Amino acid sequence: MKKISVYRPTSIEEAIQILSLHGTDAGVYAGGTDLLIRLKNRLKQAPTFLVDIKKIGNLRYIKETPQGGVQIGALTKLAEIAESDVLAKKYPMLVQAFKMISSPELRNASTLGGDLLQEVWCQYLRGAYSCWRNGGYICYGAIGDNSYYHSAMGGRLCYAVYPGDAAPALITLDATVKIAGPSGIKEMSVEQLVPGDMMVDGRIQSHVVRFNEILTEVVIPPPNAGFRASFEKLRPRGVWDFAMASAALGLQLRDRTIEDARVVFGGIAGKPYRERAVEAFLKEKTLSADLANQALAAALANAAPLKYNATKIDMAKGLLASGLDKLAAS
Amino acid sequence: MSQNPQKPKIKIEPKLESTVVIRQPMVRNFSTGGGHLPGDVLTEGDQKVVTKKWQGYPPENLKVVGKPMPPMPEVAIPRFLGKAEYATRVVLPNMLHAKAVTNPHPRATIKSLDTSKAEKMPGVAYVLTYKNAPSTYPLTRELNFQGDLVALVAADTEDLAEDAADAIEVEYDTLPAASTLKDAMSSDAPDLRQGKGNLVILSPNNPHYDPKATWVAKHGDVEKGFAEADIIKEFTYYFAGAVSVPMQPCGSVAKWDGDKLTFWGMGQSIYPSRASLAKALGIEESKIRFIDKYNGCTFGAANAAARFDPYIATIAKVTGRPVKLMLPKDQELAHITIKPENLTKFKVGAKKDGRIVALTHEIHISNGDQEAVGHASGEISKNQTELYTSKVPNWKSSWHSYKSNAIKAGICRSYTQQEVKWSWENMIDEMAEAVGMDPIQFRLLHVPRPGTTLTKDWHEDLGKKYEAENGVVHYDSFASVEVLEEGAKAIGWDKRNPVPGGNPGRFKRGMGVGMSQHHPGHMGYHDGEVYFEKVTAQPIGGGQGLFTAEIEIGADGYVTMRNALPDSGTNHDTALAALVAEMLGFTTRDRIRVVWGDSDLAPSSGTWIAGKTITLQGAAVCSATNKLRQDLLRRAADALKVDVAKLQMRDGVISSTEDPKKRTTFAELAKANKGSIRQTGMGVNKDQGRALTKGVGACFVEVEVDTWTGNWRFLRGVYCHDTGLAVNPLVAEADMHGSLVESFQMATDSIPWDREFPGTRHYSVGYLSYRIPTIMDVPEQTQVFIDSLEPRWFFGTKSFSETSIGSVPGAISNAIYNACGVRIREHPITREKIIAGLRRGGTGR
Repeated sequence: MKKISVYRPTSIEEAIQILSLHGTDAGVYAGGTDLLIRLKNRLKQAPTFLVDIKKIGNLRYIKETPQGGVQIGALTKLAEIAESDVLAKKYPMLVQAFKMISSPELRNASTLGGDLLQEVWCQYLRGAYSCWRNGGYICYGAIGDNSYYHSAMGGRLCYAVYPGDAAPALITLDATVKIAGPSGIKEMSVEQLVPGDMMVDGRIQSHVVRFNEILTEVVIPPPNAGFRASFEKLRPRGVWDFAMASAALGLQLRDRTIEDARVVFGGIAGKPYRERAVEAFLKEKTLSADLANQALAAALANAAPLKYNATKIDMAKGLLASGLDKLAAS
Repeated sequence: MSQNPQKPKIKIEPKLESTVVIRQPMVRNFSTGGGHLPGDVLTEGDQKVVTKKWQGYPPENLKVVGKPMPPMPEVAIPRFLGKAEYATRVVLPNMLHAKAVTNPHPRATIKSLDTSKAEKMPGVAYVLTYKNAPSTYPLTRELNFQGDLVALVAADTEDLAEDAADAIEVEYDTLPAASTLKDAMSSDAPDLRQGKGNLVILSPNNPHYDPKATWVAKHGDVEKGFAEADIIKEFTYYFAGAVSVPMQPCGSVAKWDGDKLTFWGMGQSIYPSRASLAKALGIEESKIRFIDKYNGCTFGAANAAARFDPYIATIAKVTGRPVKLMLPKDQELAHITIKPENLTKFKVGAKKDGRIVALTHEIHISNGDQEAVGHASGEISKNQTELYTSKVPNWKSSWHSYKSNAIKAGICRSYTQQEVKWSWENMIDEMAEAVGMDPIQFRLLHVPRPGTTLTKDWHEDLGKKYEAENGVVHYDSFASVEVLEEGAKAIGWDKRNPVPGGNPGRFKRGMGVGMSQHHPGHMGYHDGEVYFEKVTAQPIGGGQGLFTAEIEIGADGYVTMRNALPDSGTNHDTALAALVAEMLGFTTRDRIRVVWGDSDLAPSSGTWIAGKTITLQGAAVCSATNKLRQDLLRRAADALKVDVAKLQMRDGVISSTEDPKKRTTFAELAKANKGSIRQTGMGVNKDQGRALTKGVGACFVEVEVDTWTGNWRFLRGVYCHDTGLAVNPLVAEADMHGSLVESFQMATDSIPWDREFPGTRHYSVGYLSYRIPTIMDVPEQTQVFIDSLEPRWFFGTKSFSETSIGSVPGAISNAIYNACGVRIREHPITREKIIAGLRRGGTGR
């Protein structure tokens, strides 16, 4: 394993100073369930200077806002979110989605910020192949076995899918994030946070957080009356695995009429794939049992499967139908 | 002292949670003129060599055998406490850690190799390559599969060794490779056998010789059979390979004291492992103390990791320091043996009433980097063919084994079962549908049952392998009917909708069945039997060998069982201790101690293999115990002046049946004999042993398919075994749970190869790409034990731990077909294939 140095700053300011000092050789170390595995697997891109932010005291919380929304600190464990009564009451879909992330063991260690900003799990990158994300100039997923970890919705350089479940669920809830940097706090939507493979500070990443910035908080707006949501995830086993496909669905209802909709697919594209065509189709429709079939016709028309992953699209559509069916029945 | 003396102590009574035991009568007439009739002597088989019924120990009035009991504390408790002596856990002062450099290409030669940088790195003690490997056990520049060994580095810590391994500079000349079966079979495949072609063929003198196949067997006239058939169908199936995953990383530790080597290994034997190691090092076996008490599973597959042992011993010798190797999972995978990739074609002709009258079976197997006939060896092939052909008048089975640049095929939680039966069990289901029969009824029509005979001309070499009478062998203790009928009851087969995908709604349930037969039902001979002398008169080989055990009564009256075989979570010592306790008249197992896993402490024995330990090592244990029992009775008779026939033995006390005051104890008898009384026994296994006491099993599966997404769940499994008398049903139940889960995994995962770059893996990320079922995925299970007493063996026991394991993948496939109409002919079973099949219209055709 490469020699590493670990810093343990006690404030965000100090952490940002250290990150600024070492540039892209440094990396934020929170739960470690992604970072330490990259180090253990000897990825070239893994940082040498780990900035352990767990000593920073004020990043682990779930707080209700006066308006009725919720703020979640970036260091909050996934298990704490999955087991939160406040969140279960306000956003039951969110809790349901978090319970499907990985395994109980990993949820106890992984943090919300880490889940949102995690590196892709393409088997070539994780096998230390010299790909775009690891110092090389090729995407092995594009030309190799792309059945599981690669996009069926096209791509640019890196074809790996965005692996997380938290982001699709949070986008459905119109959540935003706060990012601390040398010049203060930035805010953006979760959708803007993870736009897929982007060149940032000379490296390809799924998110737009720069080398000297730290994601500090997720803010979820207050739930409206008549909001219904569902989260569906398909994985090979009942635990551990990333989504072969997932579908997060949010409907703002007035009686049975859909006033507004959010449809976000996971596990099929380089980013949480918000399907605006289906959202537009669902608007002003009456929620009914046969709505699913009609919605499917509008879904994922831009699919561009690679050699081995066309079934991701079938699975994603099946999950959308399943989600709509459950909401119609509720 | 307890804080709360009033609180009653909770005693957990071991009991079977989910097992149905079907007891069969002790006296059965198999209407074969033989089998198991009243009286003391068996009538079937070769009269000259057959033994007494039950070996003199009938399954009556049992106190220990057949009772559910937890594993022996002295074996099991160290495992639970994390204190068991696994090789990977051995830590010695001043120990070096070894790391391997392995070949990244499916086939290559080493062009240049520079270790100078690595050798200069801090903490590095030695680098072993083809340049300095021992002449008795060389390393070559020719590398024939990805993961083949290039170099071993030993350093003060694992991390330093890993860094040094990275610093070794290797240049490879990559060579054309044939990694997949398709490549190896192709006419323009690179020749991996120096001009002989990749297909291994037998010598023309062999009765099974065929210029175009590795092994061919046939019976009747296939062309004539097809001409008579009313329905003829052809099927092709593919099995993509599978691996077992031992929990313990393959590892070993070597330590020299002068010219004496102590070696902590991993595998399934002590003495054969020691012999191979001694041979490779060019030293006497007696210079090695071989220790292997615990393995974290081996599945047969981990035996192959012994390849590294001589190198570790060599580095330890050269450096004068103990050396430990612990293979990372990706490197381990290249060296443990796997279930090979294979392609099977059937042509089957049946009459309108369902009877198969003609069948051709053609299987092509990627054997990996080895020259052997492997799966296509006659005995193995026959085992896989026999279940459905013993009643078919015309059939031909041809086996093709190819050398390839793949991981070696071999033992992998049973040999030749799941991988070969995948096609058989799918085919039988499809054929049942073609003739319009229920899959159970169709199987019942074809499987042998007690009374079925196999004649010499059914297999030309039959008489050579079995104790046959005029070339005819009977099936007798063989619960083929019961495993199907009792399993059907347990799963509720009558509620199955026979129409594939016929249930309404999005979530469709379905049921399927698969069957399996395997050799472990065969048993060996012990040294109290005539045939033992016959077998041992010739050299014993083939890794099966001779088994020895020693049973000793000490001055404290306790019994020590010395029994070399390593434990791999198999708990065979638990079962063997129960047999010893029962034979010596104990009502509990508490007086039995076991010494195992160490060549300095236990007498020579063979390799435990194929789930036959209870009748191979067991033959030695039971024979020794029987001798000890007779010995004790004789001594007691002398001491008490009572006739042996009027003595009884209970819990270490021998007393007169007429006058209980006339008594002595094991302890007294041992004391009188200078502190101990001991006896040794031996067992042997040659080829397939006696008669057709094969194991047979079945698996019934219920699944639920989500027809919207392709998701499926394994809801229930009913797993049926021809157990004989299960010595310890509690341990057997647990073992069978594991068996079903592992076979489930083998149905849903192929070897973790890259589909686009075959011969290469993406296994280095741990289990990211290899998905072993978790506790969330395993089905609710019911075990069905058919107690079809084995008349030829002590207490009617038989081996059964691998008999049913081959049935599972086919049963799952058949259940998925029944649920949603998608027939998966290309293993593994995946959600992608289900959803794709559903999109194609649900029949998969």
